[in-house]
Amino acid sequence: MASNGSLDILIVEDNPDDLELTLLTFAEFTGTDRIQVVRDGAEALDFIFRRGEYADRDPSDQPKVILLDIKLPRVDGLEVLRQVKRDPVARTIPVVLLTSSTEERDVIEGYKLGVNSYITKPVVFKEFSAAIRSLGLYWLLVNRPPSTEAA
Amino acid sequence: MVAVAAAGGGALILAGLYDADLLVALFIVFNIVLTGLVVVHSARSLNRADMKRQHAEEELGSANAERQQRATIIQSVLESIGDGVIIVGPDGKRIYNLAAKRILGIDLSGLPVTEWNQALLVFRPDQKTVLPLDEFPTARASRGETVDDMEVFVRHAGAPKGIFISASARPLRNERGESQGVIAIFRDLTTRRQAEEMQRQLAAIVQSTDDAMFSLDVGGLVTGWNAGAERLFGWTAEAVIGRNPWPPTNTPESVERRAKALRGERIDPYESEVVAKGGRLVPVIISVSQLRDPDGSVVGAAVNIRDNTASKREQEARLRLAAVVESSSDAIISKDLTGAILSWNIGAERLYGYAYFEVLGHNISMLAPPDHIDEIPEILQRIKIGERIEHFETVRRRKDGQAVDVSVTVSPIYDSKGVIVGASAIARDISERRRTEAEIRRLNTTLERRVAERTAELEAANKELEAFTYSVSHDLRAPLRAIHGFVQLLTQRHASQLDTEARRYLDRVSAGATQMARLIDDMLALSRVSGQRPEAQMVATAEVVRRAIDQLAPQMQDRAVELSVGELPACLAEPRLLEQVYVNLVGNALKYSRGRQPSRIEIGCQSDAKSGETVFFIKDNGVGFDMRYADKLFGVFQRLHRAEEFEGTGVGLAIVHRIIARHGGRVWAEAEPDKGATFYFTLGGAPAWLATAA
Repeated sequence: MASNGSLDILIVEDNPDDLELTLLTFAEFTGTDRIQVVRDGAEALDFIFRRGEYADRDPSDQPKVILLDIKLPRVDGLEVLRQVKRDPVARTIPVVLLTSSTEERDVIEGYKLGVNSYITKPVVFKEFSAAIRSLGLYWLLVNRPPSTEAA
Repeated sequence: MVAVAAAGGGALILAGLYDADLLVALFIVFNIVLTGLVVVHSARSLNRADMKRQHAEEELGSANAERQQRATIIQSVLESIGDGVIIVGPDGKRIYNLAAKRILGIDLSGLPVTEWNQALLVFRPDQKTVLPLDEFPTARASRGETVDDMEVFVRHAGAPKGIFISASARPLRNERGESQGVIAIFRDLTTRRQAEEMQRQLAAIVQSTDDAMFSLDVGGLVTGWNAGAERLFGWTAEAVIGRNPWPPTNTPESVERRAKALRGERIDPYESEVVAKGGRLVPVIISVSQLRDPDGSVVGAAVNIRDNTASKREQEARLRLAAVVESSSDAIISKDLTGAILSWNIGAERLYGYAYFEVLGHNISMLAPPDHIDEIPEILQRIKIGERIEHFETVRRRKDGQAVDVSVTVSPIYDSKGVIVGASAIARDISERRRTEAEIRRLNTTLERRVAERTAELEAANKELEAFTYSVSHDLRAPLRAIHGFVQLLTQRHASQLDTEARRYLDRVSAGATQMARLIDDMLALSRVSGQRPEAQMVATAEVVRRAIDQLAPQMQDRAVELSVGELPACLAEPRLLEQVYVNLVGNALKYSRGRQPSRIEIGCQSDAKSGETVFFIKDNGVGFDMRYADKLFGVFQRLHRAEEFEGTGVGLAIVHRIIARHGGRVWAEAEPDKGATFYFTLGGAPAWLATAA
């Protein structure tokens, strides 16, 4: 696993059930425990841009992928996405919108804002874990992010 | 002897001096007159016997006094004769009577007789060739000739245009046959000529006039009949002269008119009808005047008849037009170019409140309120150059001061020579229309406001619905994932701690969650169909069907399915929605025929026998259904089969129904339990949104 930091995945999820099932799936199928969890959009922005309680975070230790729920308290997922993609440094982090929404307008808005992937959370757990699994493998093993220097 | 044409009387004044010789001749003349000889413009009755008697009488009257007396008498006779008389004595001396001097212009010339003689021009009747002196009647008579009714043309200062004269002359002789001079008698023919000319012209007029003119005697028999009469009545003059061609009429008016005519009273021209050849009735105007003899007694009647057919027709047309004008509810007004009102119909009285006698001659501007007064000269100016003003909407003022909205059309009036002499105006009261328009505007505004309000409400409701749908899709599914997910974890990770019963319960929990997720998905799909505004286009139906079948491929795996797709014409539809219809209907067909070996599914279309519409159908050989419940088929969450037999949420056909309805089409089904089902749908005509999107 190519890694130059302590972090692989940033999960932005407010629903504790979905969060636990996601974490279980990642633990079971990818073996990584280098996962940072934040519970709303505002916290996600603080983490990514090292503000507030994350102000002292190591700037070199950026997540390799961000799993972002759309419907979030305080600041919603699309707003987080917008700010990430506007930032010249953070924009290189792949963002996957992970949501139970099947609304097309979310898909369209997400792609407009430059989301890298989009996945609807299936209700059936088997499918859900399969989706999470393939997602984790894809982003962590197959798709290598550009180095921050190159960006 | 000399016979003299004479008439009338008067004092005799001789212009020249009398001597005894001359008086001989005068005496002869005198005698002729006294004896009452008929005046004949001829000397043929003279004879030798008369001459002898005259001569005898001359000898008898030799006394001077007697001669003097006679001369006076002769003088007065001569002067009273209307014809000119010239007596030339043996010595060449001339005597002119008054008429001679008048005819020859002797006094008018103001010259002495000798000089006047030089100024008198005498021509032959051709009015050009000068009559030689030796051909003068007096000259010829002095040579012993007898001159009768010789016509000459004379011009002198008193008659510069000239006059025709008829002259006769005789030599005068005594009883011994010795020449005593000449007597010439002549008369002015011009008056008679003129009378004759007038007569001729009148006759020509009578013949050439379009009017029928004829004369009747007192017995009613035709005595004269002109060409106009021939034309009007159709009878020739020969056919009617001396007869009364008309059937007798005895109306009180005709009897009275006849009586009046015979009494010699004046008869005013009157309108009537006359009977022409073949019994044809002709409307006419008749003028009658009496014909009288010189005594003044009525000897007949002159009748002038004018064919009145055309003017009658014209009059009727005018009356009809007048009736139209009068019965019109519009105001119809005519005016001259200064705007003075010339006519004013009842419609105008009603519209403006003025009676015609209050406005005739007044200027039309009396109807314009002060702020519209400038329009009047403007309109008249345009009329003067031949323009027509159509449906000019303006305001006029009624007699009671009230304003009235009118639409006015003004046209020029031309006289028979095509000169614009005035204007006709037709004004219509449009107050009611104006009120209606205002009311419509008010209603429109209200309606627009209401529509805006309703639209806003609807938009708000839609927003709410969208928010609801959005939240359903997010929030209702999350707990289901939790239920499902943790049940899975339980069964996988803690299987050893669960007995069969417990596992079965967990399966039921899982199935319930799955079914609920499906319900939520279908509900969202249904709400999306309702929310979308379809955009219609020409669609290759066969292509749509192919895509739907591709989608359904997983359901056909490991099954015997005979799927036949017939010819499908292009249609006007929103392609994705139409695909959804086929997915749902073919999906149903697959589902309900899965017990068959093989499943037979037929996709096609046919033409509706009545309307000619294209009807699409999907036919299967599945379990079918009881038509008694057909009305529940397309309701949301309505199912005709138990969940244990066929899974489903009861939303698929509701979605189909909604899509078809939004296309303006119909959907229905025919089925029988165990004998399969056929679903039909049409895409209807082109509803408004189709038409605009296409």
